Amino acid sequence: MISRDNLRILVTGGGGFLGRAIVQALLTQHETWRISVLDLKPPDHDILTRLEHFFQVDVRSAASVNNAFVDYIPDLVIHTAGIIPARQKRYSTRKEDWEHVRSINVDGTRHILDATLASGCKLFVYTSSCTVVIDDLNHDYYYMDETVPIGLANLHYGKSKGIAESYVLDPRHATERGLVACALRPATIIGPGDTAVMSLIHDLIAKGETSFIVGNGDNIYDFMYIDNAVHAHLLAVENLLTTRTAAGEAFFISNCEPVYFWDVFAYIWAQFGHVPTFRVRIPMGLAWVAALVAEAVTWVTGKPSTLDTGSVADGVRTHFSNNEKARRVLGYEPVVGLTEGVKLACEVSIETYEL
Amino acid sequence: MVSATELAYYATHPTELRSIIQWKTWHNPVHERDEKKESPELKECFRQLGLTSRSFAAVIQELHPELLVPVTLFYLVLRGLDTIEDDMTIAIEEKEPLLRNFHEIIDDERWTYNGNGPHEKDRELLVKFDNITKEFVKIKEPYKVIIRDIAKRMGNGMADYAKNQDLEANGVRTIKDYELYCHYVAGLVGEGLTRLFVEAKLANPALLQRPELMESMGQFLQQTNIIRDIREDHEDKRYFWPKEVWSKYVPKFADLFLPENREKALHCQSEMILIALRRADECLFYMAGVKEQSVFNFVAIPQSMAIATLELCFQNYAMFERNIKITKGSACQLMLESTQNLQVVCDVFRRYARKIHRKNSPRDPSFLEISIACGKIERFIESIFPTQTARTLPRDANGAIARKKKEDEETKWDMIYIMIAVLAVLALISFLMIGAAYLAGARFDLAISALKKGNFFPPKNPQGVASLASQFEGVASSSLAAPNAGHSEL
Repeated sequence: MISRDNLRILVTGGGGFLGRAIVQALLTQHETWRISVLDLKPPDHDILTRLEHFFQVDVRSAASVNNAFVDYIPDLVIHTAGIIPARQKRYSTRKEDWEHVRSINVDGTRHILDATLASGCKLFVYTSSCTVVIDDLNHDYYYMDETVPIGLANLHYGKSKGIAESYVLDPRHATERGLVACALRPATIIGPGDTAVMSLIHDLIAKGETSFIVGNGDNIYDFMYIDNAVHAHLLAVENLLTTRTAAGEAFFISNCEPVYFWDVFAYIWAQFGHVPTFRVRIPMGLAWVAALVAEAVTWVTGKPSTLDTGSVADGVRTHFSNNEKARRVLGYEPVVGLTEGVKLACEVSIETYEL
Repeated sequence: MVSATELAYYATHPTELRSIIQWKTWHNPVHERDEKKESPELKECFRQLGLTSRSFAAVIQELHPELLVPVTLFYLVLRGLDTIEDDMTIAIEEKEPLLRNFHEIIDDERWTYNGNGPHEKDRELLVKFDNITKEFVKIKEPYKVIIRDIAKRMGNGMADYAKNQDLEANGVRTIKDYELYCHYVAGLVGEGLTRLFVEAKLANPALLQRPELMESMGQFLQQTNIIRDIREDHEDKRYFWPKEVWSKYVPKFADLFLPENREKALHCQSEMILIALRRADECLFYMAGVKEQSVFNFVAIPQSMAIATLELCFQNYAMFERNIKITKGSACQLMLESTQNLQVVCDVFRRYARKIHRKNSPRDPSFLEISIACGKIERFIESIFPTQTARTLPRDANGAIARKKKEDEETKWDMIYIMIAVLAVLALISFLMIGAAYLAGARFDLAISALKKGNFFPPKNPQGVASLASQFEGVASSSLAAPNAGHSEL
């Protein structure tokens, strides 16, 4: 049994949106634990000073990852580092883009896990993503649970996260090298300081595109407030330190409040003081054709538009998860409601975007 | 009588008219009362039921025979309590002991009460209450125990409210108080009915282990009525909307009805609807525990009506101006859909959840919460009736697809064999009939010749037949003659 008083925990991607929040929570909730961060860029100064170590490492390089573990053996690793291709890149089909995503999310994960095991550390929490299933934009996933097969995602992000998750949870690591690992698959995370989702939604106001709903508007989606994602990670850590019932398992986590996709957009706009005067539902087929035209225009002019066939598909899909397993095994229960979470995210974002 | 406006309405809403006709034509009660076996007192009970309840009388009378009388009496006992509580002409000194002791009164076969004011519409119920008590003593003891227990708790709850001067003057204060009031007048009814169903072995006993489900059944109905009846209750100076909610929008309750506060009133209405709507998934959960069709109909019809009523009220300012109710056509459609199975009722709930979602406006402070409440209904339905897609089929989906293909192949061959058999039988029958006709001397040659000439229909009179026959006889005989001639030449 590991001594709980001065646990050494390594958080990769500790400078990122989720990683930083996890580091902060660990520092506040477990004052005696020794927290280290491995990332491409150093975290904020106030965090940096409270860390045991900061390793400036590019996870794509096995050598530089191994280097970090030379004189350092963590008790547990939380691997959040990764790249989320944003905006148009999300729907990219270019080979170079895929290679870039793969090298960080797949190779990076392999490097970290291999180095962890080589160091003698056995406990590993992997931040996967719900996109391992839903980045397959040709299908709806209603109330999906962990029995739904992965490996069918075709967008770069979900595909890479799926490959990496399968590597981490590969039973051979457990039987041959004693790895005790679990993977969390958060829904789309929002929160103060999030640059991906909020800014994308906010930008639609300036573009004057808030009056359009693609599809019938009845499609349902899962979001997750950052604090709940952090909470789930800490529960996973707790589980691996104690009962280890989560070993070898993946868990969908969300706010457990699936909601009509377009309503969340409208609510966020309303927080920024914008309510569209009218809203039209554009049939999926028509929107898809329009997107195809927009893509052609983009191709000719080189000026990117919001509309593309990928985002049209994203906008009409029903994707929400069943979090029963996380509830049962980890004791996960959201701590901040979605409405409050969106409000909190917007409050900070108002300052960020409206200046 | 059907009014001109109604005629115009149904002329423009044929689907609703269709529902009315379908309901009237096709609805068969699961069980029917056997009036021959009923005592005069019991007949009187059913008459009172019809007089006091517009919505419940029909569904109660279709209940399983085991529960028909207990539920009817349960309803009338609670109605009796209600008639005493509601009547403001009864002094509190007289009212309180009546309410608190009502569970003992119902065992007194001679008890009647003449103290209601002349304008109380249900005063006859208490004047002739001995009919009910006489029947009450006859029912099985376990049912009596349940009815007495609920009558006792409801009577005491009502007495507490009647004595509460603060409530009289200021109305309900917090959401908690509001739900407690709904508990006394409706949540307890849900509990009593559930215990009766389980006692009769017509519902899953597990329902008693999840008391929040039966509570939600009552709350959902009662809250919906309180929301819809806002105008009427305001005119009667009864205040059920909690101050905790309306004070966010207007300083005085009466201000909700001022034209300049139209938007605020709608926002307040949304929040009230939200509180009710959050219970909807538990109502569906409850209905999943009902085993018998007549009991299912009995619980499902009011629930479907309630969600439709919430949808009607939502974002509808008319609610503050007058009484509104769902149209008869919608009601009939809902009854048709609520007398089938849980899946159909789930479809009703989903349909109305989406209608509410579509009316929802981002300007409304409860906007996202309402959207989440509708999402909760949809999620619950998904949890019991999952939407299957190619990707969510079980892991052996490929095996399943292969099996399906094989089955399809087998079905195809079955179909072919059946077709061959049918054709063979038809051929045999045709052969036998034509053969019989031939043996009986039918002239197929004449018939075929006539057909060749284009006479597809038999002649209408005997002369026609004769002329036709002679016309073709000639041809036939001449053609027959020719080979003969040739033959003779050989």
